Amino acid sequence: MASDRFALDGRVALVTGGAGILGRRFCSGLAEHGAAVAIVDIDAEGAKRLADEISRETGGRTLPVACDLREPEQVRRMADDVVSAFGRIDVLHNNAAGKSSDLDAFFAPFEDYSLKQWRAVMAIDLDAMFLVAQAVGKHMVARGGGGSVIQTASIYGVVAADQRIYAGSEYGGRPINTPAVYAAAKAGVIGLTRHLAAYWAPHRIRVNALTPGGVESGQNETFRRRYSDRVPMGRMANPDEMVGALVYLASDASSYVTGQNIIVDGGLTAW
Amino acid sequence: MSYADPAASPTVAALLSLKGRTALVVGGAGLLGSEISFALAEQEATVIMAGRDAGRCHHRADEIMQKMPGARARGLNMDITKPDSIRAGVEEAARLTGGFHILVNCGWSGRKNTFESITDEDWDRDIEVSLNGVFRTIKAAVPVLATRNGVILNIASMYGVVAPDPGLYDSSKFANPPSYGAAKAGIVQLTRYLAAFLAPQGIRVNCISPGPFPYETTQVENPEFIKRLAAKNPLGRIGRPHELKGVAVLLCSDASSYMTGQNVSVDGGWTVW
Repeated sequence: MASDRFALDGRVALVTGGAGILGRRFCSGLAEHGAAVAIVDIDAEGAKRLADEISRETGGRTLPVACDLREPEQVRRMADDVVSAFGRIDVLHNNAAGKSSDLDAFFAPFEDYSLKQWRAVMAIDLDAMFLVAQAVGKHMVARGGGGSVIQTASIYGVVAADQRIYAGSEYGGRPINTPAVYAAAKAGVIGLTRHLAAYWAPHRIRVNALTPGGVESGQNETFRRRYSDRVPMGRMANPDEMVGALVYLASDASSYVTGQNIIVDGGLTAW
Repeated sequence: MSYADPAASPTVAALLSLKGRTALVVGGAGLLGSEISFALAEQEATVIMAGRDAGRCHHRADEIMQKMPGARARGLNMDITKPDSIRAGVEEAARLTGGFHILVNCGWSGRKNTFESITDEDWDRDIEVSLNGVFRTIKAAVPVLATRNGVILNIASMYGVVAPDPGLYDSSKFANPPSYGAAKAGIVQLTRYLAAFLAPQGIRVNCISPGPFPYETTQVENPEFIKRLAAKNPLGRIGRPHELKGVAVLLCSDASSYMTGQNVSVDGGWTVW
């Protein structure tokens, strides 16, 4: 049956940023399709709670791993720990991204953006993708069993943000925008994806990007309306709507797909 | 000349010059084709402006010669919906000029339609003009271009790259038909295909994707539509036809001698967000 190709039974998946808004759905989606899931997050408590919850609900194996992905040593140890616990890694979902702890600096206007802040965002949004792909890829190559790497990109790595949608837009009571560093980092993720797809193809490791459109979380009504007006489908995404594409890319259903960017954006980039 | 010798390399003015070249501009008397014809003439190319309305082509050619003493331009009858007319037109252009170096495909006509309103006949006619006509013109012209390091410039559209936002079009009277984008996307891919397959013959093939350049009649009839177009665009306005002149000269001249198979968007940023 065609749907068997989507099965992840017996596979081990590792998801970074696994306790985040999208990450938690990604983890549960992979678990529901049969994968053992290592939930990697900087929030040790959040990862632990989610791991327990997913194991309880699916009966699948989970492993919470606390890791600061900006630290190369921690990343190496994290990958080793997952391999020790589960014996292998078949699926890597390179998903973590962050705004850094200083939101004023994160949302600062481009003209005043500090190099320190730029580097702080790059450290998690792009450098960590490199570190994790390197550490996990090394295991995949050494084992010789192939694998699937999925990297979370963004619509703003594909097209520019229409700045007008941010007038009056807020998240948690604070004005928001999409800073340039995010666009640059996410375009970098797409470039890294294509590069690794070609580079690791001889090792039967497929590498693809998953680009979510704007996902409804804590944005105010103004943002939701302005953003939705730009989308052919007229609404923001629900995190659940990303899971199908992820399972497709993670599983044998996409066994001839590599170097691609699957865009799940309600049509935003189509017009 | 050594591989890199900036002191001896051609000047930009020399690279952009079309002196001694001849161009066949199909649709050369149209809104965008006229600007392109003028641009090529300004760079000293001899220009043949071909179209269904031969009178209009002759008139535009006269305008070129009036504006630029010494320029050589003329009109030519050619209906790209008729294979015989295409063959005859290309032959005539080659005969008149002793062979042309540049082919610009700018011809277009079509009816406004929605997906619901478009009939088989409308679809076929649109594809016949916008895609099949371009294919046939290129096929007829390649033997002429092949002996002259020729260049082909096709005019595609932003709607061959992205879809129209239906909300921009308040009635089927102004709607961009589905056949248009399909034909124009076909032009973009035909450009890539031919770039690869004609490279051994020394022919470069590129295309331009213009953004919103509505006819003046549309601007007068429907100012609200123009406002919506402008508001959707990062640069906040519709295009001015002369804004295609620079890119046309670039792509038709030696200034782009290492470019082929490309689609250059001139759209005010339409496709970047």
